Amino acid sequence: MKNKTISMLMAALLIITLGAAQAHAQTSNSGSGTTGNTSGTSNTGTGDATTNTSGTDYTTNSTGSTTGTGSMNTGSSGTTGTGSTSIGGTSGTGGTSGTSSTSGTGSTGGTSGSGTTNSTATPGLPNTGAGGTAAMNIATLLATGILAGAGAMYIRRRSIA
Amino acid sequence: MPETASFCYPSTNMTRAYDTKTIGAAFATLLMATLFVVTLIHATAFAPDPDESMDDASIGTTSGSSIPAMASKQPAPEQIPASNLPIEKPSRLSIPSLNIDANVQHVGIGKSGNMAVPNNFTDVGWYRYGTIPGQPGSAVMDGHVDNGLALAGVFKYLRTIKKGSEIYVITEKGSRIRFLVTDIAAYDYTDKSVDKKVFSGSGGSLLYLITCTGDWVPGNKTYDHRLIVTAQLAQ
Repeated sequence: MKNKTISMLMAALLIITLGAAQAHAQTSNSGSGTTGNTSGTSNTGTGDATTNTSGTDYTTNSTGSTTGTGSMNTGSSGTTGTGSTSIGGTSGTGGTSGTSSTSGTGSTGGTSGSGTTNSTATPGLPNTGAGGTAAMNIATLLATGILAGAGAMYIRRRSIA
Repeated sequence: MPETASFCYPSTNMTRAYDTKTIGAAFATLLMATLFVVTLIHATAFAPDPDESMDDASIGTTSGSSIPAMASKQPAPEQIPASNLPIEKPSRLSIPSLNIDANVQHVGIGKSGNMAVPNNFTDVGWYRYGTIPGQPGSAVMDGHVDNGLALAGVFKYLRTIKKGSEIYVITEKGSRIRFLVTDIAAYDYTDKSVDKKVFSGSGGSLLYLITCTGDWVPGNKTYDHRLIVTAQLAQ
């Protein structure tokens, strides 16, 4: 009887492990070039304009960021202000291209502006099925159901005896 | 009489062994029953890749957030169609020819970076960062083809829909917007050109219904094709 109980416990552990592995594997998907893509490279862009130090015509250009393995995001910005401020911003997350720029006019050099966010993102097509995991789920249900039933019968028999 | 008593209560040690075994068996049984229930619920009630994006309250603050910039895409005033359809978010989707009358969840983007799906297998998801159904552009809705036990999801029979079939979107205020199916096609799930076509669609007020089809890809835990039904706003 002891051996029987030990066997049941071992079977239980096996099924728990099986169930945990199955549950863990439930969420995954292929990424596309949008937000939340874990396989993408990190954001290396700088979104803020640089400081105008000369007070004369200048160009501010900031590079966009790249996120995800999908379409690249190459923000470009920066136009020329006349002796003043240029506000260059860029790039959002996981977009295709971001552009933004504002040319300032005025007289005072040495002003910096913060960039604006401009990006366009296209999400990937949704994952709308789970039927492929059916075999594993059904096997787990059968195994646990049978073991639970056998356990219940065993306990009942013991309690009657 | 003493023998009978001895049979029922042989010794203190035997009684203790009996209790230990029973408790062990009860514990294992309870564990199995729990695992059974958890697996059943997990397979039939919780869909993979649900919405991971921020809630509606944070839409519009795109800077530094993970919300795509096409969020809250609204038609410019000059784009509003002559029909003057209400700009109301969808509440239900009805396809009479398939006996579908489903609740519509407003979904964003899943952890995978794809359009999120409803958190169950019976509702339909509307991409809330896209076009509102009936407005110029492409409104996108998705639904499951099956669940974790391979039982039918809301769009199980979407592949059987015919061109010209009617689709109704019922808004939160009860308006019914009528669409007619113009195209049914399946695309490889890795085809990125389809993403743009669907989510940045032009050429009228379109409604796209998406579900899975094809063969299961174990590595990615998804089907290898997407069935896309295109419907045009009925005048």
